Amino acid sequence: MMELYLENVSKSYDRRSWAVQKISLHMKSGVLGLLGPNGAGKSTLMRMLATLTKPSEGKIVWNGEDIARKPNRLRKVLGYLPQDFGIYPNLNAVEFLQYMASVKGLTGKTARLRIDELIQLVNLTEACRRPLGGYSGGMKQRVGIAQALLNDPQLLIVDEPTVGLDPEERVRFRNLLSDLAGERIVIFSTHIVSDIESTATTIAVMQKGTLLTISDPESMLGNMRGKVWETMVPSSQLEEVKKHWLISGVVRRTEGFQVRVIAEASPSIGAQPAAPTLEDAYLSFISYAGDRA
Amino acid sequence: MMASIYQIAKADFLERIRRRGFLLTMFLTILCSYIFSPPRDGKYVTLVFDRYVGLYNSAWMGTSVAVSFSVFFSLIGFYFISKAVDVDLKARTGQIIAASPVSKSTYVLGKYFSNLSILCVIVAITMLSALVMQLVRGEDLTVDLWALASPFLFMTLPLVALISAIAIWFEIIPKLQGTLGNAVYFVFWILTVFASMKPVHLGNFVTFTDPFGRAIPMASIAAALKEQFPGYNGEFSQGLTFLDEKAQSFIWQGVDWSWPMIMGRVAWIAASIVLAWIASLFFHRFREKETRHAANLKNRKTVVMTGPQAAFDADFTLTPSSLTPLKPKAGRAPFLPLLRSELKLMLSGRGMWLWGAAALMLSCYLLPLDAVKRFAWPLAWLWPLAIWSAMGSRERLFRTEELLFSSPGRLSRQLHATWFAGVLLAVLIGSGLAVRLIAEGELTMLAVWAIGAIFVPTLALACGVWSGSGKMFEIIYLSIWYIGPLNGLPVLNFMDVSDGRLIYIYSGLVLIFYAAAILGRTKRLNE
Repeated sequence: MMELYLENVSKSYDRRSWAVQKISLHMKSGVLGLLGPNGAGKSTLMRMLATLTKPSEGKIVWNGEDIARKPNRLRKVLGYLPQDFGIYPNLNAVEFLQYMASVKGLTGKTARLRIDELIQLVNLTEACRRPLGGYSGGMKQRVGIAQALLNDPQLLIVDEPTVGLDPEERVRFRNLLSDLAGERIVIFSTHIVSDIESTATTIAVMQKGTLLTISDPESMLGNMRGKVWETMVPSSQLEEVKKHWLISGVVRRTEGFQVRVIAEASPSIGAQPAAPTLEDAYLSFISYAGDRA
Repeated sequence: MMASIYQIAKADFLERIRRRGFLLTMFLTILCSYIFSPPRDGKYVTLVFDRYVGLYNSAWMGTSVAVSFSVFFSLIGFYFISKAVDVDLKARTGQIIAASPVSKSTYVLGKYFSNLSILCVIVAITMLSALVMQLVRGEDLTVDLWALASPFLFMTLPLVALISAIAIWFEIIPKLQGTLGNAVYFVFWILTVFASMKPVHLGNFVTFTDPFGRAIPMASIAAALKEQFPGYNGEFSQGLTFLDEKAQSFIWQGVDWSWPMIMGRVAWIAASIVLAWIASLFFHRFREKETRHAANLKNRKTVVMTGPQAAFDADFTLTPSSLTPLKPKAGRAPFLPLLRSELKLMLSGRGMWLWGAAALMLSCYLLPLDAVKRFAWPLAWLWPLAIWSAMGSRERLFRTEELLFSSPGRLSRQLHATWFAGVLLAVLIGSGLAVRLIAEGELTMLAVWAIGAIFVPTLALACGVWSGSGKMFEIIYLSIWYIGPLNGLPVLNFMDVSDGRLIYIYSGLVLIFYAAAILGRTKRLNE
């Protein structure tokens, strides 16, 4: 049974400011959706989890072992898709995966079989003998996914994987991650709420290097019940409304704007309660944390 | 247009001088200035006329440092600045520039002036260092600013203007980018240094074939020396020259710069601007890569998949759950498959290169032994320059570091495999000589050959890991290869199989470079 445990993990590059500060969490199998605006510290946290950098304080424990001390224990079962990665343009997909397999210690028939399966899984069968230099962004991303799955990882870390994918590819990628979860831990970082809406079993929200909340999607939505409202606002009053209320959505209608407001009490006489979404919950957390700061 | 050129030059200049590497360059510049002005009782000189060296006044110090700096820096300076366009490629601002209304000539001239500004800063630091060295040496404490600065203004400045323009050409012409261009420039530099010894005069104005402008002070110094010491034999030596006895001093007050002389030198600056402008005609506004890429696609019959067949999992035949489960293996992963992969990666996309390598390898087997030692072997170990220069830096260049460094045994296994693959390449391509040495029972010679085969890739690995690019190795190795194996300078000639001492010297260097590579990689991992 795999287990990932973070205890007061902090990272500072200059000892003055903190990219990540006192993050603690405990995970068993499932998909952890790591949400946060750009610059929240998600990638730094991911890089620490992927053993690329060590925490300045605290520790990350994988199956009882501190990964700063014994990183290879984790690396053997780690699949990592960084936010920004490159490929060797003169190799084709099979050759690149063979290279990555040998780096990960996967050899012979096992590697060949695995690569064949992954090439099929990411639907690169037709293109797999063509040099990677000719691949589109989406195709390169698929090669990235395939290399992350080479060693059948128990911990799969994907950092902003949907950046650069078209909407159709994004949906399919989310489904793929969801299917992959099974008996492994998947950590999926993104700043787009819809990316993790259907896939994450647990959601963590980060801002300015700290963990604002960690919860399951149902609880997050439950906390928002009765706090989301929809109301019509004339065009001329929209700017004024934005100053006073936390707005999570605006839709133009013939009679003005239909505004989605997050508030403890009804913002106006005509406001109707609305079913909360994760987008509302996320915005509420980020805004509340911002106000406190 | 002038405002745009200024802004492009300014942005590029600021971006490049704010990099950490520039501080190192300034340090090296000051160090070079120190080396170029040796103490009177030192065992070496950098500019000597027969056995005479000028009194260290402003004129001599300025001129001797400027002359030495010009020759040396015309090589190093080129490699240092030849990434003006590359900055925009790496920063991915190229496409934004391509979509802007800026003209090709404005952009290229902006880059040219940025190159020139950077080199001017280095020249200015060298000039100040020369002034400091004059005071430190203390032979003449009278500071004559004109005599000190004029050699830099009229000799070095036109030269760096020319280098700035040439560097632009080597960035813009696709065939001259990368290792081939670096090697071509090296050959061009050697030819220019030799050609400048006997400048061709075009009237009084231009000393054609002498971009260094050395002929002007040399003639002036020789004339002054002849006047003070009629026995002067007319010879001079520039570059590191070791002396058995203390050099005699003479007084020289500097070049009397006439307008024709100055105009002749300014003509080089004008020519360099025209040269940069002509280069802009060949600049593809960052569409170049697409063009080359498209050509590659055509050649390889590769077509980027478009339309429904490229959709993420159209015709999905396998689900993640149907992947065959793998069990993590205990113990160390085997090394040989990784070595094979590294070798394959090194040789990927080098079809034509392999034919050349095969020809050189065979020539080491078939040619007479003397011809092999003199030509075929040195050439064989120059041929993989581009492959070796990618060692240790390939991961950074292709942004695969995070993929590799999150894999098991990231430091030891992959780095060792890269190194071993590089050594294997050297062994294979030079194997003809080794086989013949074994056949003749020349075991010491064989040991020199073997340590050479290890030394070159180890140097490449250390340079690649520390510099993050192949350029450092290319400069160092080309220089060693030219001075040592090709010109036979003792100690640097690591291919001199008759010199058994080399085994010990180069074994030590191999250990140092290998340790440096590991240290550099460890540092990179901890960043």
